[in-house]
Amino acid sequence: MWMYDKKLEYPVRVTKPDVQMAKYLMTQYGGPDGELSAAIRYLNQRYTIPTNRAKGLLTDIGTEELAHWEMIGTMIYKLLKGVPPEKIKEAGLGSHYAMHDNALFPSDAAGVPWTAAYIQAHGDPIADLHEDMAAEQKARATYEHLIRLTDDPGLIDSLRFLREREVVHFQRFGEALNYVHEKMERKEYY
Amino acid sequence: MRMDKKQYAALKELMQLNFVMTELRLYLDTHPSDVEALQTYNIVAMRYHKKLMEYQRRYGMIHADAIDHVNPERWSWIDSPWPWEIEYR
Ligand SMILES: [Fe+2]
Repeated sequence: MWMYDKKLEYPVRVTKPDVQMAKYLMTQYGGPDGELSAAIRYLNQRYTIPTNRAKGLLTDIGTEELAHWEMIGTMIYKLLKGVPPEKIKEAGLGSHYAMHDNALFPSDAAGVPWTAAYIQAHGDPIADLHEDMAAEQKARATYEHLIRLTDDPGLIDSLRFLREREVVHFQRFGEALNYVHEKMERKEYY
Repeated sequence: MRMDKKQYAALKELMQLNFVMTELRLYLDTHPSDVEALQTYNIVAMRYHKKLMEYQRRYGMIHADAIDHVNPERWSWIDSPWPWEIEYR
């Protein structure tokens, strides 16, 4: 089960509303390499992963990704707060406004809604952990793109934090993968 | 929403302590026999829970299964600031 904590994992400072940046950030809210994909991918893979280390990691990183999803949601909420429809239309989010007003919706930066087709579960620890490591690198690269798209120092600070977390997650998944290999060599399973 | 300085500093300290725990938790998942990391985790966790209790006693619940101390006639969970509405500084 999960219990909610009424706090963010890391502060989200937004200096001024910026519809264009909100649009770009949606890729991390509901895009293929976004935080929602990450959370669902890991929390869904954990049931059949064989080692306790990987079960722990998928549970804990999956949970942390939900906290990142909340940080991205907070960024978008703050960037769109109080912005009138004309400004939203000008910045290319007119079709988002037509369907959602200033509300959030899990879609990518081009408005394509989130789909489970972004994630996989093979029940094979080698395949699954490799997918997870690739996902972390893709998210890291996406954060680098996003950092280059804004000059808001507060936003850059939060995006740097999220980028750094992807690097740590990649490292930990790599360690879990090595441990699976060790176990296989010792013929503890397969 | 703009929090008063003292409350914001206390919340920030909770966020920092809890983040150290998140980082150590992931490390310990793949290094479960690292005694030094385990001890550090426990020291930080004790400090976090102490600070969390103090914070919630004064400002209301932020953990969903906390004891609600603030006002016997009012459920504080809905009144304490929502994370996306706080003006972080
Ligand atoms: Fe991640």
